[in-house]
Amino acid sequence: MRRAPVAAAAMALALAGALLAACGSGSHVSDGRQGLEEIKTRADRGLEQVAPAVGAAIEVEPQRAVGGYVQAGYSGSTLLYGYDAQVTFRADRPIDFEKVRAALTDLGLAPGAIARLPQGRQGITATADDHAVVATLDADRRRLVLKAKTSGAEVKSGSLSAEERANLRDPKPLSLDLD
Amino acid sequence: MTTVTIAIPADAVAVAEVPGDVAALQGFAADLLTVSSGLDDLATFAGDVLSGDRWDGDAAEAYRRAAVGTADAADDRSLVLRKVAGQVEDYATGLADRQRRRTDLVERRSTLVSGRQDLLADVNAAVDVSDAEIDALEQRAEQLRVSIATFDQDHATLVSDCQTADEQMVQHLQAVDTAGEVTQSAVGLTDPADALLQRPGAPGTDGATVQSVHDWWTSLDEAQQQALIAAHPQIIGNTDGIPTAARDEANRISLALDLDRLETREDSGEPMSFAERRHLERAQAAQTALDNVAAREDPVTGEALDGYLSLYDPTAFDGDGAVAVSVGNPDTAQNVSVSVPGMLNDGASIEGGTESVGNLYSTARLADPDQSVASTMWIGYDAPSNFGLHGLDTLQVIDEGLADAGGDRLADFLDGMRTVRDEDAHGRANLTVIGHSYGSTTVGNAATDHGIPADDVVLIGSPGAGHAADHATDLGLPADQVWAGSASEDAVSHLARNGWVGTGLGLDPTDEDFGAQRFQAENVQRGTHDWIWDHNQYYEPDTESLYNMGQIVAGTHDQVLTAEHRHDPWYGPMQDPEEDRRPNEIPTGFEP
Repeated sequence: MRRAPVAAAAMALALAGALLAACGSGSHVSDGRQGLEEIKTRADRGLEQVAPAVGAAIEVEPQRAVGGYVQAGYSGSTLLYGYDAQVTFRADRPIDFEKVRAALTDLGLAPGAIARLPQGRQGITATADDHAVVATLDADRRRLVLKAKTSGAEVKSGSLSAEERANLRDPKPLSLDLD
Repeated sequence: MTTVTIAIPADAVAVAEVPGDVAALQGFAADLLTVSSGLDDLATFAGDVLSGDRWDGDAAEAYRRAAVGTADAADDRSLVLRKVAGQVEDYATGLADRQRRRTDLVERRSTLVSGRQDLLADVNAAVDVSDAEIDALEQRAEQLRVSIATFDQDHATLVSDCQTADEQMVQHLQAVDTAGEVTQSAVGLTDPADALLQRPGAPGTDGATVQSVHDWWTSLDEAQQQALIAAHPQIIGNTDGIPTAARDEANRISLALDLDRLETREDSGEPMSFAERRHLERAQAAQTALDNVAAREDPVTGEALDGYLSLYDPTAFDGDGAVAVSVGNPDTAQNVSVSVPGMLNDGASIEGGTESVGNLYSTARLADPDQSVASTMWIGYDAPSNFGLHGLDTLQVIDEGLADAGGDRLADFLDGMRTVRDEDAHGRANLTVIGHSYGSTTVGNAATDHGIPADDVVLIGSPGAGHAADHATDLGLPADQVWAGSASEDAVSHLARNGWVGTGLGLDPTDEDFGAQRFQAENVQRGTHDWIWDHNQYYEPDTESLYNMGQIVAGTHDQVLTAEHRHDPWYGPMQDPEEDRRPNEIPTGFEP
């Protein structure tokens, strides 16, 4: 549990810290286009780590692997970008989601409990050093989407053309070794 | 055997083309209006110089003699261009109608051709048939003859209408294709715009209100409204009580003029002042935001989305700028949201802000695909956004001065949205107002100090709900229509006052004592970056917060994922149960 700020001075200091952070100091990812590359590399690597283990656990071959950037938010005129690398598993029998959780545990990712999500889906969230892993099982338990998610790229608004932005958002097939 | 002859009419004539690009013509009309507005500005400028008394002497007199002609010529050209813009717009409207008629004719002809072929086949096959069958074939032939004659007549009318419209348009354009003709055309034309602004209730008149402005606007005919949009786009575009479509048209004129003027200067290498560079940066951000909306698709229909520039004043607040962009038309949509951002936001932030409300639009559409949506990012107040040389307003984040002033403006904007809506035609909008960060304080102050016509209020990442909100119901709504979402790692949300500790900008709306409904707003990547990330990811796709805000905007409240409140026990520091809950990714329809 967290201790609440107790005085205006603490609040002002916290705000100053927040403002400095917004200006870019202390980020774990490089600014600009290089940061976009870095978060893609991290997510792709994360997916390469978990997808074979999960596929083996549920005995299903991975099918469609794609990656795309998401605009994760903004701060002033700085756009915050994240990146999702995902692979889909389709099974002809219900998938045992506990096996997915066990596979993530074996990888040392300390997954949370299986969560009930809207529309009958189920989800598991796990956290690695520089990315998060999310598994989502459809209501019919035959389609599993596994994602490695990263964030932290900060790009100045206006530094990307409209075509570049659209291209970032457009999901691309991934050439990863996922078997 | 007797042979009977059945006369089968000739095929219907082929349908003539109706060439023309309606959208391009409408764009041409808008361009003409923009040029007209620029010339009106020039005439006004020249006129102002002429009426000044700060410059005397022979040189001044010589200038005035020269400037009289310039001002008059600019005025003439502005008025004539405005007239031609209206004619082009009318032509485009007529062309759209003629193209629809042509499409109908093509379908009718197809039916007639196949009917004729069927009849021909039946007649050729009619050997050794009864008199009744012969009668039936003759009747079909007669009906076909009548139908083809009617078709031919309708087709001839369409061709004639096309020729007439084209000839009239050519005449309109040829009448003003030389400078002399422009001057001649301007004879007898008077600019009604200035006089219209003097009417009671008009913007800027004594006692003008949102309602009086709306009454004044709706009392004008279309030509008068167009004249005002062309001559005074800054006023029409930024006055509450004017419909969104008109504000958008006016603001796009101002934006086009700004970009043309400032980008020309930049391209020429002329030195630009700090203020001019900021002005250009804000204009480009607004244009980019509009372009981005146009590039998005509705997640249900797949159709391109419409963006509306309902506020555009890059010089407001000492150059920080004011701007608002809507994804979808708030005057007609069933579910309408207005998002108010917080510190660090100014006119240059609209690109990111529009992306955020675009995400909210899509999520709300998917939450209830039968309901239309419009989501607006409103940067219409002086949010704490800069540090030093040109203002110290970021330091003011620690008090509520800017939120107070912003609340006043926000209340007017929301009143304007309600006022301009034609509820007979579009029904009452379900309006959700969302305040993020310092914007949540602004929303709180708007609600407590002025009253806002919202159905739901959402406060996210809030450093406090404002000075006068001790409880959710103080915002003028039942507590179950006041929503709060704060990520446990969002440092700014911990600045609010909880129980008896802290100062902040009012009470933490996620505190159980405040009485609002708290929804889940954790991010699966919480805490992995600078803490400002946790404060700025509420609109990120596939997050708990975006999913929940989409349900609130769509009115599907039973789908909102609620969270346990923060609480502040007497024996220790504030407790946040969400910190111990593992966050989830909630699909919001953005799957790669």
